[in-house]
Amino acid sequence: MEVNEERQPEQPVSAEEVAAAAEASPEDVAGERVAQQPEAGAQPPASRDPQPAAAGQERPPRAAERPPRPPAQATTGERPPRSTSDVPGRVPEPAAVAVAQPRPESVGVRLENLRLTPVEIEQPKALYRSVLPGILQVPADFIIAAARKSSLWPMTFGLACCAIEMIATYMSHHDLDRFGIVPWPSPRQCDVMIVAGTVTKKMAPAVKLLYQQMPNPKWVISMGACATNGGPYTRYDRVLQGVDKIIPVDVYVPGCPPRPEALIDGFVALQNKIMEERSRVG
Amino acid sequence: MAIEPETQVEREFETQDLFVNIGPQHPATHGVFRMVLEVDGEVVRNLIPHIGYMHRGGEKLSEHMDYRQAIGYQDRTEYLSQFNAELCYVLAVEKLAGLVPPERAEYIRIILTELNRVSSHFMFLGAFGTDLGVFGTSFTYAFREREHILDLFEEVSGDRLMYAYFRPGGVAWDVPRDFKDRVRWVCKQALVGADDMDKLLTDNEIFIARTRNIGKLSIEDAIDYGVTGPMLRASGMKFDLRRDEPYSIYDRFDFDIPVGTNGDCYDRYLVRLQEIRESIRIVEQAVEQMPDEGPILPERMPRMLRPAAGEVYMRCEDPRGEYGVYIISKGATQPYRCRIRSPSFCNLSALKHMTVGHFVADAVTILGATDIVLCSVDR
Amino acid sequence: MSPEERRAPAQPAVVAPPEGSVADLFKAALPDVEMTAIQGALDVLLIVDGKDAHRVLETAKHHPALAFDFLRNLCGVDYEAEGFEVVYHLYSYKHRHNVTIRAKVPREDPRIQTASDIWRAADWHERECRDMFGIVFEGHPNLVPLLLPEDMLDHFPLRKDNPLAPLEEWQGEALGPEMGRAGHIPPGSGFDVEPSAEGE
Repeated sequence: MEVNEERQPEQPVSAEEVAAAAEASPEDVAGERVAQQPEAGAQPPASRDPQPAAAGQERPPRAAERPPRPPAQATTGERPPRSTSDVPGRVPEPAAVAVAQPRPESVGVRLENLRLTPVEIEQPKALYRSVLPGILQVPADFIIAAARKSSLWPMTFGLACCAIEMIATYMSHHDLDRFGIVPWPSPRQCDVMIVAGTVTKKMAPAVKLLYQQMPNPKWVISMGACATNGGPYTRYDRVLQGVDKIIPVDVYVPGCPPRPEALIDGFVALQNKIMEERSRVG
Repeated sequence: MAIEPETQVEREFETQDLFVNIGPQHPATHGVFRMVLEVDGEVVRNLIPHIGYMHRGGEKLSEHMDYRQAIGYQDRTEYLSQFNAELCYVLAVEKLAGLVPPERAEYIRIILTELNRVSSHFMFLGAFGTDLGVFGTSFTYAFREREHILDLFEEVSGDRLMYAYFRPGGVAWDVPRDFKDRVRWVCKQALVGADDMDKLLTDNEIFIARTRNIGKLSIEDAIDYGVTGPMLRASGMKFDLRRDEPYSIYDRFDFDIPVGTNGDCYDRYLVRLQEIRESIRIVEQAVEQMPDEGPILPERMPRMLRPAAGEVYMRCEDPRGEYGVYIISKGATQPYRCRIRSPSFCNLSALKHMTVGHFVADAVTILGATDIVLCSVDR
Repeated sequence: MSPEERRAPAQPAVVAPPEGSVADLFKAALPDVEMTAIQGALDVLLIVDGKDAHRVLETAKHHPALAFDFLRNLCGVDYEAEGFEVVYHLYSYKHRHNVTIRAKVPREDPRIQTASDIWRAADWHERECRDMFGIVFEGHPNLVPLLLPEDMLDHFPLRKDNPLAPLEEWQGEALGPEMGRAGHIPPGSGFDVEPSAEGE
C-alpha cells in the first residue's frame, strides 16, 4: 500500500492499463468488490503492481487511515463529485479512443508490437465469463448454505400430540418433500430436530443425548406451545418449561398444536435463517 | 432367563442372553415408550417396559381448573380420539350436575364421536402397516381419508386436533349449515378409504405371515389384565360399552359388534377395519334422525358449574377400549379429583404377556397392534 | 320425553342403595365385615376399612354370585385430614353389574395389601398409585416407580399438599432487563404459587 502511494503523483494511469489489468486478473470477484468501495478512490490503481494484486492487498484502508470526512458529508450522505476514471478497477466509458504510448514495462498487452493507430478497446470481461458462459458467480458459503437449506433431514422424533400434526405435514396433503425435507429415523444423519411435544424431566436427558448425537451443522425447531415454554402443562413440576433450557432452539413454531402450514412456515423461516447466517455456521 | 443346556450340543453352543433397548426415541414405539428386551438368539425371553416419559400431570392440573377449562386436558390426553374423551368427561360432569343435553346436541356429539373413531382407526391402519414394512404407502392412504374427516372437524370446532367443542349440557356452538351434506360426503369417502386399506393389506401374504398367530391373548388373560376394546373383542369376547352399558343415545342405533376368533394381531386388525364400517353405519343413521333445528344447550344453563358433592365413574367406548373418567366433586367449581382410566395403559400392561416367546421383530408388530397413545398411557 | 322432563335433580350426598342391589350380596357374603353402602350416580359404593379390603376384593372375585372378574380402575384419592382412599372399580362380565369399593388408608401409615394377586391388571395401577400418593402396597411383586423417574421420589405429585410449579423466567437476562422480565410474574405477588397451596 505504501509503495503505491509513493508512486501515485509521478505516473498517471491510462485507460488501457486499467482495462488490461482487469481483463488479466483472475481475482475478479475480489476486484469487483473492492471497486465498489467509494473510499478506495484515493488509492492508486492496482495496475501499477508488477503482478495483479490479490484480494487482501487491495482492501481499502481502515477507518483510522482514512482522511476524516467533513461533517456535512456525514449528515447529508452526499459525496463530492468524482470522475469515473478516478475509480480504480472501473473502466471509463468506451469512448476512448486511446492512443497507445510506448511503454516497455507495461503489463498485459505488449503495445509496442501494435501499429501506432487508434485501437478500439472492448468492454472488460472476466476471463471465465467468456470461457464458461452462464456460470453463477456467488461466494462459496452461499452455495454451501443453499445446499444445506435445500435438503434438511429432520429426525422422526414425536413426543406428544404435536407429532400427529408433524406426521400429517409429511403425508399426502401437505407433503414436506416439496422442500427437500425427508424424515430420517437416526440422529446420526440428521440436520434438524423437531421437538414436537412436551419435554418432561424424565425425557430431557434423552432429548439432550439425541441432540448431541446429531452431527454439525444442526438446527432445532421447537414445535408447539409445550416445547416452547411448557404450554398448558407448564405448572406441573415434572414438565420442563421449554426445551430451550437444555438445547439451543432456532425456530419456535407457536400453536397447540401448530397447523401443518405453521410447521411449513417454520421450515421456511429456518431456511431463511440458514441463508442469513451462512458465514457464521461452520 | 436362558434355558438350561441339557444335551452336549446345547452346552457347546450355549448362547448368552442379550439386552436390547428400544426407545424412548424409536420410530416403532409410537411415541416415547421404552422397552428392554432380553433376547436369547432371536427369541424374546423377557420384556421390561418403561413408561412415564410423557407424564405431565393432566389429572393434577384438572384439579386446579374450572370444570369447563379441564376439557382441554382430555383432548391432549387422548390425542387421537379427542371427541371420545371429551364425551366421557362431559357425561361425567352432567351426571354430577344433573344436566340433560337437548336432542340436537346429543346427535351432534354422536356423529362427531363416531367419525373420530373412524379417523383414529385410520391412524392405526396407517401406523400398523408402516410397522410391518409397508413403508409410507399405508400411511399416505390413511391420511388421505383422515384429512377429510379433520377438515370437517375443523369446520365444526375451529381446530384440527384439539377441539374442546363439547360442553357439559351440550356443545359449544352450532354446527355449520351444510353439516349434514358434509357428513354424508365424508362417510362416503371413508368407506372408499376403508375398502382401499382392505385391498392393500387384508389379503397380503406378507402381512398375514407377520400377523397371524402373533401375540395371542385368550379371553381369560385379556379380562385379567383389564384389556378392553378391540383387543378384547379380537379375543372373542362380544362386549361393547355402547351396547352393553348404553350411554348417551347409543340405544337408538342399529350396529354390529365385530368379534375375532383367534385373539392374534391379524384379528385385531380385522376388528378395527370392520369397526370403521360399523361406525359409518351409526353416523348415517344419526344424520337421518338428527333434527334440523333446535337448541344445543339446555335452557337456564348455569354460568358457573357447581355440581353437588358426590362422585361418578363414567366410562365410554374409546377406539382403544374403555375410557373412564372418575370425578369426585365437593361442591366447588373445580373437581376435587379427576382420574382418567386410560385404555392404552391397561392394554399395554399385557404387552409382556403377549410378547414373550416371540421373535424380536414380532415385538414391534404386537406393540403396533396394541395401538397405544403414549400421552394417554402416562397422562 | 322432553329434555326438561328428563332433567334429574342434583345428586344428594348420601343415598342408600335400593333393595336387592350388589351391596346386599356383599353383606350376605361377608356378614362380619363393616361396610357402608351408598348409591352413587351410576354405581353402588362400598366403603370399607383398608385392613378388610383384600378379603372383600377376594370375595368379589371368587364368590359365584358376585364374580367381579374385571378390575376397571384402581386409583388413590387424597382426602387431606381424613387420610387416603384406594378406590377399586369392578365389573362382572358374567352378571353385568358394577361396584365401587373404597378402602380407607390412614395418612400416617399408608399401607394396604396388594390386589395384584387377584387381578393382574392391578399390577401397574398400584405402581402408579404408589408413585402419585406414596401408598405402599404390601405383597406387590415389583413395586418400583412406573411413571416417575427413579431418582425423583422425594415428593408425591398428586397429594394435595404438593403445590404446582412456579412459573420460571422464559428468556433469562440475555434479552436485557426489560425484555427478560416480559411475561414473568415476580415472586411474592401471589400468582407464582397456587393460592390454595400457599395457604397450607
